[in-house]
Amino acid sequence: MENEKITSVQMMMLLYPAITATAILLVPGVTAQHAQQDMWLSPIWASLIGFLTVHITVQLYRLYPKKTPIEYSVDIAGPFFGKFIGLLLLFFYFHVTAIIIREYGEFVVGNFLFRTPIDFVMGAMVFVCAVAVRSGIAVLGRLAQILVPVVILLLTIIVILVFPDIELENMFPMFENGLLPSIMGAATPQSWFSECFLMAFLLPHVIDENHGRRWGNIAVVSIMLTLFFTNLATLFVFGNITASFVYPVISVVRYISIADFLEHVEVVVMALWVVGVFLKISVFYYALVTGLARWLNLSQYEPLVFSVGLLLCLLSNWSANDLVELTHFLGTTGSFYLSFVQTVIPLFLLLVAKWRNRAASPQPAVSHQERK
Amino acid sequence: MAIGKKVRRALVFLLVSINVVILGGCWDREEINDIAIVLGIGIDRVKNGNIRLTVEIAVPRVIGSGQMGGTGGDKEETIIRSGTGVTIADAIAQLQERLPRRLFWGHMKIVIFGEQAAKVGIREHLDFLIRHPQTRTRCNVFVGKGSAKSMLELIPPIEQSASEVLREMAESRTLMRKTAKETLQTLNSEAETVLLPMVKVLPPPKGKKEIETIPFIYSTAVFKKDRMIGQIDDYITRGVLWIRDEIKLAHVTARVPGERGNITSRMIRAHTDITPKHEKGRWKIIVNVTSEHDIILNGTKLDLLSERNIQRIETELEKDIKRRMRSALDQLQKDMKVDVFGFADAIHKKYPSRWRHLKKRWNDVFPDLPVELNITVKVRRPGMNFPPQGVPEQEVKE
Repeated sequence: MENEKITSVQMMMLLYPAITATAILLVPGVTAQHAQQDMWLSPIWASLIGFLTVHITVQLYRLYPKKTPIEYSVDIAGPFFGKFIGLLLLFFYFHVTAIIIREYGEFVVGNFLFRTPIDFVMGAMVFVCAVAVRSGIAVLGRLAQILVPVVILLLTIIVILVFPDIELENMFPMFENGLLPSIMGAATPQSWFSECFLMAFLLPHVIDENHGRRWGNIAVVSIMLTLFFTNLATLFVFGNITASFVYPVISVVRYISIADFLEHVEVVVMALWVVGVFLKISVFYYALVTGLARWLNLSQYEPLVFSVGLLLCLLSNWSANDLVELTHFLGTTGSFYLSFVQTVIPLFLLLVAKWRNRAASPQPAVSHQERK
Repeated sequence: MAIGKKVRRALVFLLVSINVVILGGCWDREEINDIAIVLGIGIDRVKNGNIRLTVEIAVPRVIGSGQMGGTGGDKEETIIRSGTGVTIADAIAQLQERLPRRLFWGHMKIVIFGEQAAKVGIREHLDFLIRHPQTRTRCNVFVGKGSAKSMLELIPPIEQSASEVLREMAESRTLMRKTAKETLQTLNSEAETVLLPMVKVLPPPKGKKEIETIPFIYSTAVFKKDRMIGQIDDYITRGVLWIRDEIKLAHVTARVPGERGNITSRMIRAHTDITPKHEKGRWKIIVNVTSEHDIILNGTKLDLLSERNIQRIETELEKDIKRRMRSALDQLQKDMKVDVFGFADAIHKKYPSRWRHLKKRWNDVFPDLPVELNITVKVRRPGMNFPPQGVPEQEVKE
């Protein structure tokens, strides 16, 4: 399990789709409801949580090299509470992965395959991801290295194709009700940024781990820029009606028409977007399965993959009754739920770890950092 | 062993290939010969408040082979079907009963509202069009003089369908053009007004059948909220377009005082800025227009090589544009009292905090709002000749 290696660039390429893939679906609509014409600013506020999470994760990793949260939570909080925190994280990732799969399913069924049962759409995706996860992190890393540049290129092309239809006026009046609406709008995207905590599960496999922090921050910046530009493009095209769309970005893509000739591009977008979601689910799935294996002190995680996949299919079906419930969850409680588990709990672990290290022997931790 | 490996590989490959065949589209598999491609729809209000939906459907075989076979002419390239119901969605259900193929909305280009339907309100219909996952928010929206059905039924001589004719006409931007998205945006704007292009049937030339003609955009329908309250002619519409900064095609004709004959210029590009001002408790709108023109016709004896003459012409062109804008303001601001110019949004964008108070009494303030028009015309080029054509050299005025 520990032998598989990826580079820190590949780690960044895994983190990028792990956040953006679904952040461009429901999130812009939710952001627009709060922030309205200031929605372009929200990803910038939200990215602060991303930087914070990367910082916490890297700090924890420096204190406990080659260990994942499942293991160092035991070192920090003792065998009982540590295992408890590990279980909490596992349940959390189990739940969140199921929600992501559900988001994917809702999107595909709501936009393209209306009569196809959602369980079938989700099941097919889980199966593909299961095969990828079984192949190991090195395979995932290389997949990301091949696919993510294509996804980024595609998003860039979309933003360029939208250009003829943009209406700069839609941005005004800026900050009509102060900065508060844009900060409120950041509530949902910030929970996506807290998913940077996934780094903690990837870092033990990174060869050039001393570059981990840099590439983690690059991931946050690139995600922030992606969300910034997609939000801006959406706002420029739809203006005051952005908030009324369930999936504003895909609606913008459908609006593209260049010289009455280049139309209906959303099919291409869909095809490549599915690639992004595949990577996203795989990364979460991988974190979940390897975490579970570590929690159970197993030497291999592969035997768990398919059984966990089956449970994921079931839970994704149970995670929400309908799209309204799902959107409501992600727009309200979900935001705090995600960042609580992925940012606040690690922060708490870090504080305890620092305090313990200081109490026990202040020198090692510091000298360890200096060596880096 | 090697053979066994190869066989296994082949088997895996075969299995994957079979999956590709059966999984394409899953439950939503639709073959091209099972769908009826909707090109345009018309929405009319009929007796007892029901909605009649008329769709124009492409007949793929004919459109595909085109007129190349030489047999074209009698065969129509599109067909028209109607269905009625309480809502559009309801009407579609009835319409589907009368069609062997499933309706496909992905290529819908236009929507025409019948005059009656427009007067009752279009919001409900727009909601359907935006909410539907197949329709495009880019489709052009029109209001038909009389019934929408009669527009779609026409068999145009050049284009393949009445829908295509209307789309081309809207895209040429001679008058108004509104997509479904833009319609909703203006409906949601601060002023809550909409302008939609209005179409009617062009009388067919003598000897042609009554339906062998085209619909064309001839004026503009004015909506307050989602209800049509009136209509303005093409001259007034252009005035509105100048103010709204949406003018794309314009010819301006002016007479120079003391000279006989007309001068016509073609607008190359124009830009309008609407600046609201709040002075001593009174609101004021300043409209600044800059417009670049080429001269395309010179009926006077003025030589266009002279800077002085060009300046005189520019002044007269400015006056003509101002007249158009003023008459648009007179009719829409003073008589109809609808803010279709975007003044409310301009104030909202510049003075968001003051707008909150003003919004409540906007309907009272707007008709008496002073509007200042500043127009700058730049004549850039005189066309291919400097002096007027067909005038003896000694009569040309420099």
